[in-house]
This record gives sequence, C-alpha cells and structure tokens, in this order.
Amino acid sequence: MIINHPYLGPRDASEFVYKGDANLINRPNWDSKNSHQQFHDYLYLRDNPEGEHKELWYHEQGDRSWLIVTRNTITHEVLDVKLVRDVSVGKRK
Amino acid sequence: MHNFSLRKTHALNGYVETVNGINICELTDIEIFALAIPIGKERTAKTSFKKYFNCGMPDVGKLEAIHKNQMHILRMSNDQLFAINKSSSKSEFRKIFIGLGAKFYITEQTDSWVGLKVGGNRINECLERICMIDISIEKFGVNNFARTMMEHMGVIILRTKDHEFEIFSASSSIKSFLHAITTSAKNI
Amino acid sequence: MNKVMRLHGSKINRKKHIKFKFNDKEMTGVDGDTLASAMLANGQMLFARSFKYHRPRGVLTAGSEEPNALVNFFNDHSWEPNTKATTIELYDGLLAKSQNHKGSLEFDFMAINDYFHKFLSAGFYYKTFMWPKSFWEKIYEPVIRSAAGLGTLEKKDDPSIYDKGFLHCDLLVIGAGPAGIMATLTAAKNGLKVILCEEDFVLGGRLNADTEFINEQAGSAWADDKLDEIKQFANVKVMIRTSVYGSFDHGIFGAVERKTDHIRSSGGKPRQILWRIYTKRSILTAGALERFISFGNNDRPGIMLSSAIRTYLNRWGVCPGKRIALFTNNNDGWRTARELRDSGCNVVAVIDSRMESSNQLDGVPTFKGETIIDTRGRKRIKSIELKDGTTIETDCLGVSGGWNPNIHLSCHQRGKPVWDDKKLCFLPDKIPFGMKVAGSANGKFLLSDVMRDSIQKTEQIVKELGYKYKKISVPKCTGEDLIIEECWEVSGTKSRSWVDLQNDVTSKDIYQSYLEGFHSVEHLKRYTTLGMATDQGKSSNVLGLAIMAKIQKTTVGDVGTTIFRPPYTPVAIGTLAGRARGKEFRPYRLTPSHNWATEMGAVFVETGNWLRAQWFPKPNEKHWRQSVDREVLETRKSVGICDVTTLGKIDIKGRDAGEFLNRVYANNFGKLEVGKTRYGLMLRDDGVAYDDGTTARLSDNHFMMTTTTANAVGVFRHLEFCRQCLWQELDVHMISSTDGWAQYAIAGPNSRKLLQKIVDDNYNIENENFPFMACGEITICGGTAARLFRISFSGELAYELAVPSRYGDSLIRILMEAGKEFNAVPYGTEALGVMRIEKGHAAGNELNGQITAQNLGMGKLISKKNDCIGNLMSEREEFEAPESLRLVGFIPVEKSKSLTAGSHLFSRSIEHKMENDEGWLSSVAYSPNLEHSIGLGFIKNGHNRIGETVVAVNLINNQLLDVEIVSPHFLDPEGERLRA
Repeated sequence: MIINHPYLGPRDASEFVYKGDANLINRPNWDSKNSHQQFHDYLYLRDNPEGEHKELWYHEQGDRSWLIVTRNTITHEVLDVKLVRDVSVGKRK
Repeated sequence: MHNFSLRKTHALNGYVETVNGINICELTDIEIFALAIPIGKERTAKTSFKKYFNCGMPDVGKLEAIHKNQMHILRMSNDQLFAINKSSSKSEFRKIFIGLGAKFYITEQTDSWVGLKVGGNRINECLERICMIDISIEKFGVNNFARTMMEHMGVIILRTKDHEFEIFSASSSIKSFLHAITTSAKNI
Repeated sequence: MNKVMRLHGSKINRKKHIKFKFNDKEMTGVDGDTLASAMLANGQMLFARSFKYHRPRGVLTAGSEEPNALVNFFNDHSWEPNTKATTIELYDGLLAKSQNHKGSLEFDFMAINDYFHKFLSAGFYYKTFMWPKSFWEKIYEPVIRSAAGLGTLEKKDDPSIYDKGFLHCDLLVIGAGPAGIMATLTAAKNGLKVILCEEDFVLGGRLNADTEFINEQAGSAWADDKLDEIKQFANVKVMIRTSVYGSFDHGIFGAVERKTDHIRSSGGKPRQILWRIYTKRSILTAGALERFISFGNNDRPGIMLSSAIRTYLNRWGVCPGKRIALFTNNNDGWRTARELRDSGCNVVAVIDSRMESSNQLDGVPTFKGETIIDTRGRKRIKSIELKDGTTIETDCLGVSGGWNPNIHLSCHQRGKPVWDDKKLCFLPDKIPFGMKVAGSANGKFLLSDVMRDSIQKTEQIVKELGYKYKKISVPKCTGEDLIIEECWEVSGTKSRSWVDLQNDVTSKDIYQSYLEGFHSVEHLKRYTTLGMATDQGKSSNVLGLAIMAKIQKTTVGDVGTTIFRPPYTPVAIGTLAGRARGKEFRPYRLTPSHNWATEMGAVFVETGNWLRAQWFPKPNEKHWRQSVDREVLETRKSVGICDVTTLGKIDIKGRDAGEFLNRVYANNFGKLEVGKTRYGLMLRDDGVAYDDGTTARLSDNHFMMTTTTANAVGVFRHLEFCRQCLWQELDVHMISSTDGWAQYAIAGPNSRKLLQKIVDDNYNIENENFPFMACGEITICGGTAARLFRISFSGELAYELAVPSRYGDSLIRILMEAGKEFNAVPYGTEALGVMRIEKGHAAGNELNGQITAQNLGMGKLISKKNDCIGNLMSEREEFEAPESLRLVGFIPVEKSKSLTAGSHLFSRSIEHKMENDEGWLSSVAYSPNLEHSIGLGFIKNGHNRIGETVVAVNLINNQLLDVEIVSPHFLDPEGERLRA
C-alpha cells in the first residue's frame, strides 16, 4: 500500500501508523451543555462505510505529520491525502 | 573537591571499515540541532534564519537540503528544521544557534543520532536492500534527503555525492543499524 | 543407457558437456540444459511418483507450470524437495533425487495405493476417518501424516542466506517473450525507467521454443539481438531468473530472484532475493500455457504437452521419443508434428478431435474427428487406443488441449477473468490500476497480433505517464491461427482420466463432487483438491472447470474460476523471511552503560527492543533472588545505581507548553514552577489510565517529560495527535530525546553524598536548596552539562542524573568509582521492581488498559477546572462508584507463603466463580526488607477493607492462599526517606 504524502510524495504504508476514523479530530467541547453525550458519541460511535472513508494516518517514520487519508474501503484506492494541519487551518479557535 | 572527568565515547567506537567495496564510517565529529518554528511567528523566524545563514529558509516539503559551510540544513516537517554541522569550528555555529535561539526553539540532538557515511560504486545496490524509497540519482540527487525507515529503524538519509550518503539513525539501536548496512554490503 | 542424439538447439552449447547425477546415476548434459531436458536427452523419462496413487510420472511441460517432474534438489548445503526439474538449470556436479516413493523410483511400495484407487477418491479422508474417534490421534493421523505430502524436508535449519530489497520503476514488464521484449524496447526508447523480469534464465519465451520468423530472422536469434539492444539502455534493468509472484495494492509487485541456484556454490552470497517492486505502470506479458486433455490413463510417463515437445526439440535439441504421436483439438498439435518431422524425428500419428481439420502431413497417419480412449505402458507409454479401436504403438504422446492466457497476476486483486467462447480461454478483466495485459496473456495467439498488441499497450502507458510517444513499427512475423474446437474429456473410457496430475484428481472425482452437491467452483476445488497443488492447476484448472460445465450443461464462463491468489509460483519460506532470522528478527536498543554492564556480568532482559540489566550476579550467588535481595538491601542501606535511560524522554517547548501539559495530563501542570518536577497521570479520552511519569519544568517554555519505557513511542504519537489534530492553536513543539541522554537513578540514604563528589561545587544540592521534586540544569565533573532531578521510584532519597549519551559509559564508571566509599551497588530492573512494589508505585502491570485514576486511588488528582484528556469521561457513574476496584497492598497471612501474580481475589467462604470475583493481584515480589512476599493488586472497595483477609485463587498452579489487605505503601508510608 502506498500513501501519497502531499509534501513528500508516494511513501510505503509501513512508514505510517493507522489510528482510525478522521472524525476523531472533531473532539467535542469540554464545557458544552450535553458534553457527556457528545463525548460518548465521539468515542464510541463510528460509521463503517462501504466506499469512501476518511481516516487518520500518522507518518511516524517520516515527517511526523497526522494525515487525513480518503480511501475506498472496497477497492482500496487512496483518493486523497491531506495534512490535518492544512485542513484545519481555517478552523483554529 | 573531586577529580573525576567525563570521557566521550562514540556509539560505534569510531567505526571505519570497507565491506565488499562499500566504505562505512561513523561520523564522530558532528553536531545536530533541531530548530522548531514558533507557531504564528513563522515570518520572524524566516527573517532571522536569513540573517544568520545568509540564505532563505527551506520550505515545507523541500526535499533538498541547504548545504553551506559544511552544514546541511534540512526541513524536516511543518514546524521543524535540522541543522547538521560537520565543520570542525563548532564555536562559530554555537554562536549562530544562540543568536537564533530567540526566534526558534532549539534542541540539541547530537547525542540522539549517530551518523554513518556510506559510499562506493555499488552503494545504491547496497542500500536498495534496506531502503524503501527511490534513491536513484535521477530521483534523489546530491543534497536530497528523506526521513524514512530501514530494517524497522527510523533514519534520515542524505545524499552527499553521486556515490556517497550520510545516514543518521537512533544512537541506541545504531549497532543493529550498522549490522543492517554491513549485511547489505556483504550480500551484493 | 541408450543415448539419444542431440539435435541443434537454439539455446544450448552442444560442445560444453556437463556432468550431473540423478538418483546416483551419472548423466551428461550440455550447457543451457535444464535438469529435465538433460534427463530426457539421456533417455530418462521416469522422473517421479505421483502424490496419491504413487503412479510413475514423467515430465509434462518445459516450464514452471510442471506438475509431475518434482525432484529433491541439492542446493549448496541442503536438499530442497519439490523442485521442478523443468526449471533447474544444469551445472557441473548437480545432484538430484526422485521423491515420494518407498523403495526405489522404479519399484515404489506405495504404488499399492494405485490398486486401491476406488477407495481413495475425493472426500476419502473426510468419510473414512470419522470413527472410531479414539483412532484419530493414535492411528489415522500418524499414518496419514507419514504418507501425505510430496517431498520431505531435511528438518534442519536452512543454511542458505536470503535477502530482500526494494526496486522502483516507471514500467514493470512481466515476462520476456516476444510481447515483453517488444514492450521493453518501446518503453526504453521512449525514456521510461523499465524493469524487465523473466523467470527463465534466457530471454525470448516461446521464440526459443518455436520456429517463427520475425523480420525474416529466426525468432530466437531476434530475441538475442533485441536483448543486446535492450542492454544498451541505461534506463532498463533486465532481471532473469526472477519470478514476479504477486501483484499487490497500488502498483506494488513481489518478485523472487534466484541468485545462486544455478551454480554449485553460493560463495556466501544470498541464494534468493525477495524484491518489492514499486511501479507506476506494469505490463503483463507472461504469455500463455498449454493445457491438457482428459482421457484414459493420460498420466503415463511419455505423455507430454505438445508445446513442451516443441520446446525440448527446438530449444534444447532433444527429441523425447522414437515413435511420437500427437493428440490435438487445434492447429498447434500439427505444428509440433510438422517440426518434429522436419527435424527428422519419427511421428507415428496425429489424432485430431476436429472433424473439419484441413491439416495433413505427408507420410503421417492422420485420424480426424478421433480421440484417444486409453493408453498402455506402466513406466513409459507403450501404446494408445483410439475410440474406434485402433491401437498405435508409441513411446511419446504430445497433447494439445488449447492455450490458457497467463492472466494470474491480473487477478490478484480479485479481478474475475471472462470466458471467451471462441478462443476457449479466460481473458483478463477488471485489471488492477496501472496494469495492462498484452500478447498471448491477453489472448493474442498470432505472433504479429502479439507484437501489435504489446506496442499499442506500451504506447498508451508512455502517454499516460506524460511522455511524448516515439512511434515503433510492428515487425513482420510468421505464424498461424489456432482454430480450436472443444475437446475437454474423452468419454466412454473405463480407465481413470486425470485432470490434475499433481494432486491426482481424475474426472471421476469431479463427477463425484457434483453428485455430492459440491457444484460451486470453490467447493469443487476444496472437495477434490483440484488446482490446490504447488502448480496451482496451471495445466488442469480450466480442464476441470470445463468438465464441471459439461456436467451442469452450462458454459465454462458460467461455472467461473476460483479466486487467484499470490504466489504465482511457490516462494520458499526462507525467502519470505529474508535476513530477519533469529536475533536479526528485530533491532536491539542498548543503553550507554551496556558495555559496562556486560563487563560486570549483568543478566539482561528484553523490554521492548531494549536490553536492560536485570540483575548483577556476584560470583557466590547461585540464585537470581540472592542477587536481587542484595541489590535492594544495599540500596536501601547506602546507595544503589540503576540505568533508567530507557524511560521515554520528550522535550516539550513552546509558549503554550504549560497549557498543553495541563490538557494532556489529568492533573494540573500549568502552575508547576520552573525548577520543579511533578508526577503526571495521563488518561485516555475514555477515562482509562494510559501512562504516567514525571515532567520537569526546566524554564518557562521548556518541559522535559518522561514516559514509561513501554509507552514511549505511543505517548509521543498521542501527543502529536493532540498537538496537530486537537489544539493547533497552541504553540508547542516536541522532540524525542530518549536516545540523547544517559540517565541514572542514584538511590539510597548516601545518594546525595555520592553526587556531591561529582556535581560541580557551584551547584548546591543540599536538601534546602534542592528539595524533593526539584530539578535543574547543572554541570558535573568540571563543566559537563547535565540535568539533575530529585525524584524517587524506590522511595529512598534519590536522584536521577542525565548526561548527553556520549558521556554515559564514562559516567556509570565514575559513579561506581565515586560510590566505592559508600559500597554503592548497581541494581537492575528486578530490584527496581521490588523497591517500587515496596513503595506502592503503580507500573505497567497496574496500567493495563482497564484501570482508571479512581482505581489507582488518584481520583482526586483529576483536574475539574479545565479541559484535559479523559477528565470528562472519568466522571461517569461507574468510575466513581464506591464499589469500584482500588489499588491496595496484599501480604500472605502465613508469611512463609509466596503470592502469585495474576491470582484472583475472593471473599472468604464464597464460591470461587466469576460472579464472585473481586479483583486480582497485579504485581508481587519478595521484600527482603520485610522478609516476606508482598503484592499490589486491585480489589473492590479495597481502601475501606484494610485488615480484611481474603482468598487469592490461582487456578493455574491450584493455589488458594489467605491474604491480608494492607496499605500499598509497605515501607516508609509517610515518605520521610525521600524527603530527607
């Protein structure tokens, strides 16, 4: 498997570590009204899509960046790779 | 008052050997500094970098290291640079890093890594046994570098000449890494 | 032995003779031979015994698809079973033996199986060995095991060296027949970086085996010329003896290169190399393989594929028989007959199953619309019987059942090939991204079509990769169409008709499979073992499917194929392991004191990749406990030194580093003063304890975090996740400095005195200036920069001293030297463990992924005022329940008894079953200070049950032990020592 790093080019998957659903970057607010419920959903509920899936990979043996990899779970095609930092620039609190 | 004094030892005792035509040598006189770029202060950092190094700071994703005055400067990631200094005049560079210290977070990394200089006409054949990335001269020219892994060990590989590389790996596992290199050399 | 004359062969040097031995029989071959061609040239047609029935077998093919001619091959230092004689390159002194027989190859006692074949049909084992049950282990299994399998292993370590490597290219060309050569040249001329892999040791594929002409030049000579031309290109790497065995995700291929199998001695070099090839594009030009026809007794030695006869004739100059007959359902059988006759060989008959065949050969009896119903001859075919009753004497029968495109690699990603009703073969479909299939692998059987197809596909690739295409013209080629008609199985025979020769599957087995309800191809395969042998049914699968289609009155396309999986040809386990054997399986990490510890005779333990000193035995100590008890007692009495370099060390810097730590630790860190160290508990977001350690504040925006040895990598990853994915707004930067510092714990009442001997005078480390939990950047031994932390895992007055790792070896020697007057002892991880249990510190055994801060008695530490990882979910009811587990200490009521870690805890006089389980012992040790066994563990509501006696149950060693619940702090509960 190859992950095409947006800055470093195609790299073998063995340089990376998988974490899980990319939704893990959307950690709920600590002090919102129903934060317990939100945290429960954040921690325990996941989609299991057939087809496109956004997931988190860490380039541990590379530039140590966390990446959002869009992968087709049926064909295993990697459709898009982005740095979390680049995706979230506009969302800074 | 005491009279103990600490003696420096090199992780590989200054290993120098030619194995099956591959020259392998421990780099014993280098310094490595990690420079972290403060978030939100990238512009100041850039200016400061230019002032002290007299060249532009390499951009993210730049795969070519800056090579100046026996120093290589590598853009490792979004917020991090590595400076590898091979010059014998260490004090000058210390000054630079003290100067830069106001604009970067600097952490000395000299002891975390051990560098090996490896070369020879068949060096690519030797390294292709353990290096996953394409280091053919067309794709990976002089001064190109990459952080990757070889035999489960993290490395920074830097091409210094057509037939020569410097490879840096963690000091604690450097004996295993040296073994990986010599095995590759023997096996070609 | 009657020697057969060598004819002219396109790829041999007849003048260079090579001696070799088969079953201790001396034979002579020539340069360029395979073991099979040389044996055939020596008149040896009996190669092996078959798998199940131990029938005599010859050689069917001339390549890696061979099902019959499997031999035991002596390679360098060891015998390798199941090696195909058709792929072994001959060298001087080569040794080979036949296999799978008891007694000699000629008289195999196991051939008795052949007479019991009626009982040994498909499903035999499943049905027969069902009862009595007790027979299975003692009788059935040992007998079956000894009879099963083909060759036998030597059961010794494989002495060969193996290696692996990584290659990159724009285009990988798989197979160097005409299509592969053409694709390589086209791509090379257009500037692509090309790798050409060929499993054979010569290039050309069937060009060497046939007599076609390309641009008026003999095909084999054309291949030689083109190879010379290809070698001129610096952008092409030609790899012969290299089998591409698998196609994987995203253009990655696996290949095995045989480096030394063709020479007598490997000379200390790797025998085979496993390559991972990264490609942008690939072109599958693996050609096609001829298939068999099922008829009575079609497995006798001397029965070969028609194309293989042509290969032996044209490439190696070997005519495999004196009276050769051909049986064909297409024009290719005729081609063999014609070429044999043109070379002066004796062709006795051509049997063509087609009514309307226009072929004829002067002087050769021809039987059109006719089939072979049976054969005779035990160790070599003697005669054939046609359906009309005609008997023809023959010693070699060539069979051509048509051609199967070699689509294997195009299907490794679950691609399903499609059936072509006209060509009667499967063609590639749903090909993996980046791959194209060209030539006869793509169903082009006419040489000029092969060339055109290959050039066209390569042109597309060149353009896809963004190169400007330079036109390559299609060479002029000879050749003729196959004109195939269905003939899979000759019915009406009473004899067995083989389908899969290697696994001894006959057409009867397929009928039986159908009758017993195994209709799907996947069931057919597993029930009959059709195509499950090492040849993966290359000559038999399609035949089996066609017979199943006939039974079901449908088409082969509707029956479908089983799933193709790597490897295309077998790959030795040694090759897959490569150099990662024994101690080389993974890297080792050594601390800077490793050499010194080795000199001291330390016993090492693997903790993760680290080797750590476990204890330091003295010459008079016979048992490890003696060493460990001494180390503990001496340390608590005076001073002990332990290498703690392996703890993860993370340098954290930035304006917001304090806030960052506040959020990643469950307890507050923002207000930690510069020059102070604090214990930190890290939770997961679900509230479960993840890791712990101490973090020191060296300056306003500089912290030094330590993690447990085991979690160092994981914690760093987790912190990067927090920093990059959760709180990008924080200015915080991290770098691992675990390897950068050698760190020693100096513990015991005399530790300060010892340190004062080496810490430079301008640093005051007296208690008032450098109290418990202080830290600082200091210098030692006259100016060397160091870091000192006053932290204690042992519970003693203790420090951790760190120096850049280049000084680590020197420092441990100095510490021991300076410590002589205090009788300083080095201690290892065991003593470390004993002391932390005595002190009641939690470690890896306690932080097992199920334990919460509350369980550890640290619930009150959790910050409620700000967002930190895990604090919110720690508020869950279950976490706060008073009945929840608590970390407490345990001692045996009878002090002489030893606790066992992992024992489960029950209230007294209650049944020991799951529902009554109240907790477990997590860590135990013998305390040399208390002189009895002690333990840490978790028990429900433990902190309110101090003094209660419960039962520790260990069902593994059947131990029931009364234990008393005590405080986890066995020594110095007030912490007076560490504050001294």
